[in-house]
Amino acid sequence: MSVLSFFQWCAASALGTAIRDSRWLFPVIEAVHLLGLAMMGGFVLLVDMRLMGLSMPRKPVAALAREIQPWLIGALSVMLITGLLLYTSEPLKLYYNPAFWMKMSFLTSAIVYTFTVRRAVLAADETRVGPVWGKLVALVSIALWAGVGVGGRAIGFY
Amino acid sequence: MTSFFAGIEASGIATTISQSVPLSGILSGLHLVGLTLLVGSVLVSSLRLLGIVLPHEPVAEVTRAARRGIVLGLTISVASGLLLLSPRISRASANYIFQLKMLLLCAAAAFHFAIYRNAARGTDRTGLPPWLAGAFGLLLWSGVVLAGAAFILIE
Repeated sequence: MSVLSFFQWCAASALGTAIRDSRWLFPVIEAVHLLGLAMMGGFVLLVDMRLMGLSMPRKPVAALAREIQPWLIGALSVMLITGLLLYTSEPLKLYYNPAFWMKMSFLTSAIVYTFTVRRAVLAADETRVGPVWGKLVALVSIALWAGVGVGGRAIGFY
Repeated sequence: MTSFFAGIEASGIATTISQSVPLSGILSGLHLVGLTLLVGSVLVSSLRLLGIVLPHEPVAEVTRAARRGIVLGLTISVASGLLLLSPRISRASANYIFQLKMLLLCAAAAFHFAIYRNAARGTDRTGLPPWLAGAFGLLLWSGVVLAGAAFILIE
């Protein structure tokens, strides 16, 4: 099955048709998607600011990251589920939209980065990581998630 | 007011933005990122005031961290929002969803600087319980985002 035929199959699905045909479903799902993104942004920023040494200096980075992890996963789940629902309502339009592919590239990179590089640095001994690496890892994380937001908004301009 | 709005729409900045799709896209993206930082930081701060997130950390420690995100997010979203508004201020100001968004924005900003900020620092003298300030702040800023999303969809 090619990528295009998968997108065509999604467009013809009952779920996609139901969301497309409803006057209220798309805006409601979109609103929850945006709140999920905001929640994600808030928790990512909190931990990344700590990693940059800009907040909560007495709290160990690893402990903060551990406490925030369930919230981060919860926000990501809300974003992914609602994002998938929004996608099923207009997959063919998105297939030909460069901003959609830009957003997907940022999203994949951000998720992989968050659960590999960033996770390893957050769990590591702070004295071993050093302030420069901590700042760099945090800045890349913020940039990748900002890219997801910018890409998502740009979809509407193509 | 009509001629004032017409003057803004005829300005060089407004014309440049309205004629450039990539520029409008980038500004809209920045606006969304600013709002995300703002509302996300309010959410973290409010959930701490409600005793849900990081309940064992001092309120002032968590809210101080979130305050930087709030200020940064507010600055980015207001600056990009004004630029985005400049080419279509007449049309937008006549739209009731946009009016609602502006009303909620003013209410949220006024509440934030008059009460919420002090509640987060532990210096509020109004007698409002911190958890209620957290819940009300969260509700107002979420309203701004939802009204903004509705404005994009109906425009």
